[in-house]
Amino acid sequence: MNILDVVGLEKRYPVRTGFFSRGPAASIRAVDGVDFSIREGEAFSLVGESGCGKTTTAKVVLGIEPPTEGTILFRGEQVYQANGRLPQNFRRAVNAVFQDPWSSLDPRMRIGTIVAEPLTVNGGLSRAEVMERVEAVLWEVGLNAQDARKFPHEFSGGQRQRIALARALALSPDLIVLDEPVSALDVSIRAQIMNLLKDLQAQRQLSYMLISHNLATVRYLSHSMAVMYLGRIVEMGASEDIFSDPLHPYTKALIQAALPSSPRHRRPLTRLEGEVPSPLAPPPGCAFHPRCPAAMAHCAHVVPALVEVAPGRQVACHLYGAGGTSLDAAGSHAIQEAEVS
Amino acid sequence: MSATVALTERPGIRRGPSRRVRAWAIPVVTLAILALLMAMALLADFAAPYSPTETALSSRLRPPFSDGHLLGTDGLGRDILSRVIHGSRVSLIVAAISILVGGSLGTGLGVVSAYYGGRIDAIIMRVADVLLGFPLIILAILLAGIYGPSLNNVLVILALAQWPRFTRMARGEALALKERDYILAARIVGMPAWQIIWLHLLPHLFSSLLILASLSAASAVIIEAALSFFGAGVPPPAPTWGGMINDGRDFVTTAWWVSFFPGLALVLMVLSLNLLGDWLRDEFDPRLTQAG
Amino acid sequence: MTRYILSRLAQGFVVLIGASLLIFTLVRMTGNPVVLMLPPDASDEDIARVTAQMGLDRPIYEQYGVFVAQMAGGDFGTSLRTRRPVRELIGDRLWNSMQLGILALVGSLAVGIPLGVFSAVHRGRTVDIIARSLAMLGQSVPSFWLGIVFIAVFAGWLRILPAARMGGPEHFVLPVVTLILTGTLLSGVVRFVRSGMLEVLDAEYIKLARAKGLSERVVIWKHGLRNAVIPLVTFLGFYLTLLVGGVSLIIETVFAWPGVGTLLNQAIFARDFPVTQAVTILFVAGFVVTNFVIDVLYAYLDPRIRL
Repeated sequence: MNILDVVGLEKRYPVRTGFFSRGPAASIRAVDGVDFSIREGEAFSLVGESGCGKTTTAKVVLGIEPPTEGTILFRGEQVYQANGRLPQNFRRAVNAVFQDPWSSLDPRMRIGTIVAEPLTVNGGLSRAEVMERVEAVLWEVGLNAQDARKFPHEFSGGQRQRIALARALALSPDLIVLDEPVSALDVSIRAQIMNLLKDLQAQRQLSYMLISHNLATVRYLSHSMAVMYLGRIVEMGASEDIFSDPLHPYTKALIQAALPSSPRHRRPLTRLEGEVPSPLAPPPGCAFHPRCPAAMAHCAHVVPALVEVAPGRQVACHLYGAGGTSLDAAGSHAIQEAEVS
Repeated sequence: MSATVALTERPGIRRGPSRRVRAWAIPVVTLAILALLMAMALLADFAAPYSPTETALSSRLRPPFSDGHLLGTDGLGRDILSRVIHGSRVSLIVAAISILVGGSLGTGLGVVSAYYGGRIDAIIMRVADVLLGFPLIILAILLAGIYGPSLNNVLVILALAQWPRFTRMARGEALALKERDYILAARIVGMPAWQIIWLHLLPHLFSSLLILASLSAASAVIIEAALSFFGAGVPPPAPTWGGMINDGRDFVTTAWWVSFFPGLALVLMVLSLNLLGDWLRDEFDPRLTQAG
Repeated sequence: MTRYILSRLAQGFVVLIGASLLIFTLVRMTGNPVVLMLPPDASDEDIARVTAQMGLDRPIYEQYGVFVAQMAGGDFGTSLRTRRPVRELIGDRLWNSMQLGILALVGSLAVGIPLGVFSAVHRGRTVDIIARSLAMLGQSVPSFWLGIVFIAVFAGWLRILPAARMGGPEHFVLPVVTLILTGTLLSGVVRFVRSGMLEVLDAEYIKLARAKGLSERVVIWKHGLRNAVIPLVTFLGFYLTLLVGGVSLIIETVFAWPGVGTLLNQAIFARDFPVTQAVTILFVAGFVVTNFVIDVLYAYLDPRIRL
């Protein structure tokens, strides 16, 4: 059984029309039909530029933002139930670390209190036990027991993320949602935190849902990934597979835009024109087609479905057919021509 | 974080110890005055040389410094100094209760409004807007006309007058705060709304609350005096500063002291409260705007 | 934008209706005006008869309906006390009240804006301290007391100005000056101009402009004032409504000024419902309209608000 299943997730936000409104005039489709699953002990990434719906998906998964359509299953149980109850253990088993180290900790509280919060809210432990746990988890993230008495402003950005991580670990969760955990940190600190995350995952058998636009982070930490564009998944599969052989034109552009691991690697550059369109007015057909170097006439009319082109590998692109057929020579040639021009 | 202009670049900044001394003088002096006024109110019975209500028609309208009456007497022969001292009670009670009630109510509503948003927010803010614009003095006079003037009247009117400002402030700050990630983190682990509000929102409001409380107390005292001036406040013979000023109107050209001294006491109290509030504002949050 | 305007308009309307209902009921709760109109020895039957004649025994909602219908048609009712149409009564006095308000406004701007600018530019120096003390005092001194003190000094002691009532220009001096100095008017103007200017003076682009060599005068006045204008406008709107709401009542009472404020005072004590209602609703309407105008102005200036 998967620890998390997201099925047909859609999240729309109606645009405010004022006090006397007759229903939404328009909606923003933050998430427009997303399916993925995370296995126990697996690190899964959602990749994409800002505004593609990643954070919204995270909030839905965490149980604090009900979806407009679709189902979220935690170990097979519905997260959003009609009677408002949550799956067993959900609050304990699922937690998160956010992007901004400066707003994720309450500046007026001591670290010990902050990290203990999940424990005190969920009750059941004596003060001594809580303190023990707090100290243990602080140690695990590389801080020490004395730090519990200090305030957030006494720590650096990297250390604050460690504290946030400690808080997330307090209840011994099984799934942690990491929303851009290192993006706000200095590049030199990122490696430390990423290593910490990787170690923790191995030691505690954690599942991760990593959200990032930074491909280096994604590649380092995740086993599998999904690339999102304007609310939809355009490619999904094992990370290494995707990094070594990206299929969707958008994925290719993203990967090529990231620095190669060695200056000697030469790759043809696909320059992406334009900017991500506004979610209020997505382009018809395939949302990527106005910027796609391999766009065909077909792409402007028909939304490509996410189909499996190889075991465990899915793409939503007309270049790969809509019926799950594998890539044929003509198609692959077409892509290479588009890249060169 | 914007770059700060080096002090030396700004025109006209006075540097040096005189500035620092002056800065500390304000809270010390104002708090001392307020403490004095509070002592006066508490010990009125001992501090006042005469009874505030006992009339003595043989010594009407005596000027200040005449025998035994430091501040003179009023139209009914009552000692002005004693009445001023007793009058401080009303003003202080009014100030204290109105900010306690108005402040808690207003802050609570503001925070709830910000946290839950939607319809509740719209309704609360609408009502607050109406109250802010409603000519409350007229309301007070009408209420006094219906129920007769009383302390309760005054307290009700003042609570009504005060809570919208607290609500506005609390809501504004809470709105900014509620998007912070630590609130999100608390929600994720299942902290109930009231606990989030209590532990994470309210403490951050504290300094703003203090500032607003001080300034609101000042305006409460003035409003109470205005109400008493119109006869819609605490009824005679209880001495109120506003009522005393009104009493003096008849003698404005002949016995100026009847109106003058109670007003002076009023100015002293209100000035102290305002200065304190301003100083607090400068200390805690120079970014706060002066509006509203 | 139109939607915003419409919704603001509708909200203002709701406020007006709510306030009018409130006043309507409250006023009627103060007692029966007929009692005050008839001689003290009038019999109960007389009272009942006259009450019925005036339509005051009808159920409240019916009276309210009549009231609204009349209002819509521009008829504000007839004063119970003087039998004259309320409209006339208000009309006679409205200009009197407005004169005070306008003069006070002009005076405050004329004195307050330069004071605010100088106090910002010479921050920390004597001018600043004086200006801020003045502002602080203005907020802390009750207008009725200051008015009385002024009367005592200038009319009672020095005898160079009249104590009360309306008349020639010398009658305007004391009430207007009192209005300017207290009731947060001058203090408000000074503060807003000062803080608006300070914001600008600290801002980066001022340093840039100075570096470019623009005359410091130009820089200060042009940019600083422009920045101060918006909050100043809000404040003035706020002040207008305050003035209309209660301050005028106080000042007019102290100086026995024949204005709308004193009219209201008399009406309340005489239980002259139509006058009380009409004047109060006028005040509220003034507030609503001013707020509306300011809201729309803001929305026009700052597109973020419209969304």
